[in-house]
Amino acid sequence: MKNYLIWGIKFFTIVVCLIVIDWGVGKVADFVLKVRAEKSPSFMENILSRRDDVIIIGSSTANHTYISNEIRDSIGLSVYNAGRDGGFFVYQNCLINLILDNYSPKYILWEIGEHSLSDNFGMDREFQEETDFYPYYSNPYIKDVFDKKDKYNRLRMKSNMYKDNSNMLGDIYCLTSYFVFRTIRGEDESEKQRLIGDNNGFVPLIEKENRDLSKKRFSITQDNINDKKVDMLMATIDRCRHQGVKVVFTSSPRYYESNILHTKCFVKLNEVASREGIPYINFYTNDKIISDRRNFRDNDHLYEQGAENFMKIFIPELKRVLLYY
Amino acid sequence: MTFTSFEFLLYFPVAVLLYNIVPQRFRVWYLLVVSYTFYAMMQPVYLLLLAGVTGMTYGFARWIAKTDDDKKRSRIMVCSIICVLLPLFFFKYYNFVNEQIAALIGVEVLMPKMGWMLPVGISFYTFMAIGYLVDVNNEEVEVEKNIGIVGTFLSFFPIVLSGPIERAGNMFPQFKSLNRSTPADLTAGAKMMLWGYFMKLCVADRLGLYVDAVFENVAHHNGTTLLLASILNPIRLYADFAGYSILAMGVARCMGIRIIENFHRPFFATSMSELWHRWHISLIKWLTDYIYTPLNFAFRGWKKWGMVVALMVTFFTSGVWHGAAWTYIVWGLIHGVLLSIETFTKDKRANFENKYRLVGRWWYTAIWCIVIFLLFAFSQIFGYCTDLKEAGVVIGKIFTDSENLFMDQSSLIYGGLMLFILFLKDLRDEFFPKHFLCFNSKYIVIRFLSFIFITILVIWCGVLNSSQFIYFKF
Repeated sequence: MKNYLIWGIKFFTIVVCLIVIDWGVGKVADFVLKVRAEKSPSFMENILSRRDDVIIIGSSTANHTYISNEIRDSIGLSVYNAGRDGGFFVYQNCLINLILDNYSPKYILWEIGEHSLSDNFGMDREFQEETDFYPYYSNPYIKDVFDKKDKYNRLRMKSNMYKDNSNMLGDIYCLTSYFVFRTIRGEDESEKQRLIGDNNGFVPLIEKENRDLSKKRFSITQDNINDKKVDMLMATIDRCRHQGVKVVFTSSPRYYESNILHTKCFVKLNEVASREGIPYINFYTNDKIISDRRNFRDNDHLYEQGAENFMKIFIPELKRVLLYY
Repeated sequence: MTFTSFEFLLYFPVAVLLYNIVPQRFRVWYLLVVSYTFYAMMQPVYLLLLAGVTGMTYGFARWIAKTDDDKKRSRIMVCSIICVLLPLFFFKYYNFVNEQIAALIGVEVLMPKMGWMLPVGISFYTFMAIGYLVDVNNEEVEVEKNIGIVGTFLSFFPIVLSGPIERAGNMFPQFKSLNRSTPADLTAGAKMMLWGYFMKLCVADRLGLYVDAVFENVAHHNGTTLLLASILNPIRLYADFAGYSILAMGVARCMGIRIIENFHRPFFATSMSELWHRWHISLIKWLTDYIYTPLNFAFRGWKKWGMVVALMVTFFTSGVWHGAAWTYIVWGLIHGVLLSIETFTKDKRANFENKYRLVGRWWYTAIWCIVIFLLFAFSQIFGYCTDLKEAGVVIGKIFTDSENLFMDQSSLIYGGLMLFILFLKDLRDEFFPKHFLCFNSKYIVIRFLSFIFITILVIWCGVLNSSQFIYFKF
């Protein structure tokens, strides 16, 4: 019995040490974040510091498709492309709500697609870039979303080290680059382009030889609506309306067969747009772009030239919509 | 619920506590209930399959033991193996065989395709069942009359999902005398679990982010990137599989049960045969005992060619066991060929090493470690790719398409640092086992600091969103 007691005391000592270190990590992380926000901002810090008239929201398809400067030059408003690789529907809602906490842009161009309301698009993927939001866990919206992620997430988020998971080394790396090498570093090449380039968030995909690209056919049987996502969408739309922010749904061209437009998800998106009076610029299966597969890097992303070709038809349509909106 | 899920961390201490409270005579039944609950939380309906295979194995083993006539025993054994293999064939190989036969005779596939999910762990518990039946037939193990012990053996939750492939001879005596966990068991178990979590979450999953991102987009990556991913892939596999195995060992050890070590620092091997004594040890031992040795004996008249035939069949089986695809079969055959070459060149190599006194020279050992690693990495290209065409594209690009490397700084920085720690630990274990002790240091402060340091690394740098063990698809 004595041996078990000694074992228990040792285990308890280690646990207490970890709790104390966890508290200390929280303090250090707050300090590092503060310094980094000033000197070498992360993707989130960068976006939340901006005050553009038009914000483009979406995943990688948005990030590599909508040429912010061309849109800006055409409509005469400042534009920033806040699309994020791996930032899917839940991510987009969290980002919009964080932006709305800071200010009210005139317009949000929201790139949506067949995954947006889909129940079959796994929650793991929806939370793929969740560590971007860990520093903002004290925000009520973010806290609510993350506490509902699964039944144990609230417990996990009590740990400062867990909240700082996969961030601290990156923060130190970026700060070291700044203070030692006097260069700005992003987490990856597209992040670096975003931070130091003048494309206002747009990251072009460099053209390479396209091989074996054929149209995907979406299986309608795979498509179910996630009601929680619909609720999330409606709540975000309501908040935008309340703050005087005009939302425009957009869908850029994808290399898919046109049956995809008949999926329950697209039907629902059209229904929401119609009911809420939200313009929906849908070029998902636009023949002008899809007819030339050289526009596409893969089924979901346009090359830089493809993006430019798409802007030639998207911008006039956007101007027409904004004129009457 | 997997070992790396948060729920497991909450439920496992409770399971260990209850294990120690339950009276000894009921402990094996308690383990059976816990194991079945664990399995049911993943795939409830396939619990029936596991129970069915358990029932068959138990029944056939008793029948074999009761039969005195050797020929009849062998026939019953063969029949039992076929019965136990049927579910594995049905769930894992039916579609592949269906398609290959149709392609061979040039007709459309008329039989409906099976779209059922593969039962988790079926490859592992099937092999364990077969091993038990053969051991009973060969009288290496006494038949077990307590169905609870047989059931626990095949469903034991630390090993049911992804191995190691245990033997009845090792597990049955332990299940018959399940004692309380001692503080030494709890400490050893916790240490193994901590290191297993580090390998899995910090090294395997971190490198996996990069490797998966590259291999899932082969068409869009150049040869340089594919080369790096191909080199990182076996390291990631090692950290994943070995990490899981060490976790399983730790979980079992917390209950005072010892299971076989499955990986033994394979990348310090200086020959292919040595690598296969260090990589997935439980599988290779199973294949050696039940396929290679009988075949080698049967073909002993062919001398070295007999060994070659035995090797090729054994590694063909290994390839097929890993997956129902030509890529796995080619992967297995590559290893069969490499081992066959070693069989023929073993004496020449030994003479060469003796002549120039190369054995024990660090640089010579390092060269061979690198050569064996690169050969293994090359074979793993087939293990990863979805089909032979894709594997061909990868290999072709590696040799012809060299451009800028695709970098994901986060994965590579974190992964590189964690890999460095793993490398140091394995290097210490291999060459300086009594030096630089951390987890086993005689100083309590060093031990505690080591535990805390690794725990911090797991929480801070581990990939903590849910991910599956690669071996689950087996």
